[in-house]
Amino acid sequence: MQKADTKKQQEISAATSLSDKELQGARQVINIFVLAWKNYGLYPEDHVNTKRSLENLVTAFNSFFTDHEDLRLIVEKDRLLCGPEIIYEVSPEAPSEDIITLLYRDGIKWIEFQEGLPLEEIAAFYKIAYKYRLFAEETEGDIVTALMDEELEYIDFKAVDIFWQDLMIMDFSQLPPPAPPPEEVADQEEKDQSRETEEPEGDGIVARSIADPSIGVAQLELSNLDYVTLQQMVQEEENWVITEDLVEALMIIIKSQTEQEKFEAVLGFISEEVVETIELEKFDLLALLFQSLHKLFSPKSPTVQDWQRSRIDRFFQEQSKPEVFQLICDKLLQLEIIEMDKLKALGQALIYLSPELIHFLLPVILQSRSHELQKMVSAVIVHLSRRDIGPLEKIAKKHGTEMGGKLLAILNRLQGDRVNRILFKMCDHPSDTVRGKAIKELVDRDPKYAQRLFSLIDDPSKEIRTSILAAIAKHKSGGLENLLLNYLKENSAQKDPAHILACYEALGRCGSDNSIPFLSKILLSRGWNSFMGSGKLIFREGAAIALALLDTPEAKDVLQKASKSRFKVIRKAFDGTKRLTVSGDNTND
Amino acid sequence: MTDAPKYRSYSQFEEFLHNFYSLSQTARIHSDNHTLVLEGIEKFSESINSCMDSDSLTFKISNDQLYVGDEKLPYNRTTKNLFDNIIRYFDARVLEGVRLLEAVKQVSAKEILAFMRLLDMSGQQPEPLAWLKDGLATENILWVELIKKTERPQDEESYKSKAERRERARKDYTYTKASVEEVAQKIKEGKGEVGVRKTVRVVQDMVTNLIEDDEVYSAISTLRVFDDYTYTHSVNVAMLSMCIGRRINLSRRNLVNLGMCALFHDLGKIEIPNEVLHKKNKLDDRELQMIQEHSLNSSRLLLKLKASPDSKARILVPMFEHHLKYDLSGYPHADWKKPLTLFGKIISIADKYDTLTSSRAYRKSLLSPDRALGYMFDRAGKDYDPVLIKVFINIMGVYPVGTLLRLDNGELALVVSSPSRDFAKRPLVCILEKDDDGSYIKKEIINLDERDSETDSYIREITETYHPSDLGIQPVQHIFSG
Repeated sequence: MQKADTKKQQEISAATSLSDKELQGARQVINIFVLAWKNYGLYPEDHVNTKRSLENLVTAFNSFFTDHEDLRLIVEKDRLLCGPEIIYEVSPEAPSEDIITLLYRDGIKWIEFQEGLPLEEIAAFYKIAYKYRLFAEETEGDIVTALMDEELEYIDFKAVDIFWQDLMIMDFSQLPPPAPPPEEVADQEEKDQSRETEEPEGDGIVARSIADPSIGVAQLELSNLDYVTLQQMVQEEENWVITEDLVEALMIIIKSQTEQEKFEAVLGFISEEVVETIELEKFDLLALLFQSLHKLFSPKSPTVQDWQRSRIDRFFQEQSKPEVFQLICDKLLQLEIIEMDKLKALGQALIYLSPELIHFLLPVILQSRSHELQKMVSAVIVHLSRRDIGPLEKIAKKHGTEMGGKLLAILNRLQGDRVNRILFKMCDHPSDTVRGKAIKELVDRDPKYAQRLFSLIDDPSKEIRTSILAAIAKHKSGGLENLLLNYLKENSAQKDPAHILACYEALGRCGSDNSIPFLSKILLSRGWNSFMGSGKLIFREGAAIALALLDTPEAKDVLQKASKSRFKVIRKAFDGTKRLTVSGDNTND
Repeated sequence: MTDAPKYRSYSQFEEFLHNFYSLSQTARIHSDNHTLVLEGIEKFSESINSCMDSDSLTFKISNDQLYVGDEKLPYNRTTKNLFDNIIRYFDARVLEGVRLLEAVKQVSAKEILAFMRLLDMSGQQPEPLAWLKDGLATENILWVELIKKTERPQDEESYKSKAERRERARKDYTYTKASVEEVAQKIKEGKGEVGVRKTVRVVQDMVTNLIEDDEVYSAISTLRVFDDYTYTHSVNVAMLSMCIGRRINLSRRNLVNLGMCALFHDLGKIEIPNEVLHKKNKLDDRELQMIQEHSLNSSRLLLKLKASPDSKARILVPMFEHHLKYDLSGYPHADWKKPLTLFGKIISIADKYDTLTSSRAYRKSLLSPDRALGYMFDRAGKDYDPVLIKVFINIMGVYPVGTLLRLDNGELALVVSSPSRDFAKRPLVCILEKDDDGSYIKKEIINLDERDSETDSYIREITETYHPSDLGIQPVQHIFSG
């Protein structure tokens, strides 16, 4: 068996005698330990291989603990010892991130795995070692500091000074005597006032001793209430997460920075906090942070310098990183089980980000089943699109088909030519429902758009034809009247009679007396075309309805004539108008 | 360097001691089968199981302080009577302490009761300890070891252990100061993000050691180096803050956070020229503004440290607050309406105490430590949190370690230990004598609690207190020697 040759190990050897069985067990565990570390470096933390090798390791430890006590390993350069015996040596070809090398590098003298070691602790141990596997001069910590911080219950260790070996420990006997107060200080009183806020009690103050009999012991004793107060204070501190205080302090700090470099440093930290608040789902603070920054450096604020303002603008742009957006969206989807306050707060925060966020938000609407979430996200998209419609344009172009109705619902809440252009494109959407709604929205925005969309009157889809006619029928319009007149003149014979009837009805609603000659002719004519079959009756009926809907004196005159006609077919057409009266539908609405 | 003890709350140990003492009293009055006795045994056994995590559990008295394992238990209003009773109980039996071995977990209620009765009865014997030892042997009670009370105030072991603790504190002081200086220097040089692992590590170690004995850290914080004020002040404030944090049972992790925060609380001062910091005369407006901005700048410079956002966030606000008073006056003069954080309140107390008791170029006289405490106590509720001030006074005692006393016999004495009991109105002191070269040499250590056996009055009385700097005395030289 290999034995360590150092004096220290000889001492240990004398104190500790290990059985062959124990050493063999320790070797087995360590081999699995090292193998698990290799796997940890090869695969992601949640990979099945990583998990399996950690489970194997825990099993190996448990097996060891069945027959032996806790496993304490002494860490030396390139080797591990169990008692006086070397049980593992780092191969010369091993990478610098070998686990034993890392432990030694950070000053671990021994490490002890104790009975009951759970999987979570061994995983936490590997996570720490992995995090600090690369040596860095300027770092926040190392394996030792992180292990101390983690306070693992079943892994104990001892570390040695590795940073201060050359530092001379202060020799108190060599300290200079403390300086007595200066003999002469000019204008003492005046000077103390000048430091009022720093050292108001500088000189010449009269202070009673705390031992003064005027202060009773009872005044100094902590009462039961004091203990309760302390307990509460400690509890609050222990449960501390990022608070409003931090945001407010940051605002005061950044506001006072008049040098760009310093301003930048604070802003850099705020960026880190953004991610942190999202991860912790502290959306109220995120909103507060964004609102405060926005308000503090608002264009309305007279004290803000231009560079500060533009830097803050850039800050908000910088937050618009895909990883931040993705994080937000992941959180959003987790909020399906609605936490209304969080949702509302997140909504208030997101409106400060770049409109590019829309690319990430729209899919959330599609994926989420929560009405409240959809509503909030839609509101944010609307807000962001008001700042820049570009992202929405791109989405409409690329994904208009799948976005469909959701996109339309958002567009409906936006104004402007660019929005209208998207809406026109939506009129070509594969879904008739979407197209119909787009037509309606466009014509609602501007009745003139109905003329641009007039060609849809011949759309193969009945739903679209109905939609366009409904849109046409909404407003009086000379342009549409002419278009419809021409359409009826040219197409009546070839089209579906029901469609033609609907066109007449639309003409009645959007037209004027200018249509009366045409309508009168269709209704009252008795020429050869009056014998062209039952189909023609429907034209007469259409004309009669159109006249009834026009509802002008001239139109009424024509209808009067029709009602008294000698020809049954004309009277019958007139009778068709009665249903309008019955249903009361004689208005344009 | 690091032994990473498991953090355990005081209350668990307090409960153990409470159960021990209750059982001793109940067993004295009642018979073996009395319900109260049986319940007492059960509770005592349960608390042994919850406190014993190695092969033994020791509770003992050292230097008038109660220890369970290596942890010193603090006196407070709720524990004072219990601790005093236990100390008297042990004194009467010439015992320093008792070590329960692991086998105690397996013994019957009858055996525990037998031990308690023997222990109790030994108090009435002329040779309590010998009688008790015999009794234990007769009853075949092998799971108890008795720790004999020694004649000297500290036996060899505790003396050694105290010396070791002092040595560790001295190392911690040296390393902490060096690490703060290093970080400050790197920031001054504009080296981008500055790593803090050395500082974290030394603070973690300090927490480990401080949990074991906080008095040594309040003692070492009396160190004053005029030319090195900024850094020694930072270390002193960190140590005092952690003592407060320890006393109010902050978790280990938060003690580290508090230590880091206190250590860097004055980081912003590195941007202030020395001639302003040490200016004897009145500061002009610009200079005053620089001084007043330092807490704000400390918070900003903190952001340059390479630490997790969470850690930085954790300590930023207290750094910002450390010159804000309890009533929110003070500086920075900002629109700050929030109550101060616990860390902010702690650091402002430690900071002010160290400032009040430190020589500064612009100050003609110094407050003695007891007057500094009196000054702060009188401002409790306005400048300082009233409860935390009381905690601080409880830690320091009314005559804090490092206070120079004039005794009624004309002797000069330096407070070297300030037991928590009765606010240390009668502390342990060392007599100082002026040497031929004008320096002071340490003579014997005496307990001012000592009474004349005939008159029962105190042998020595305190007539006056001074700041050690008034006589050019560096307290740590005497406290940490011999």
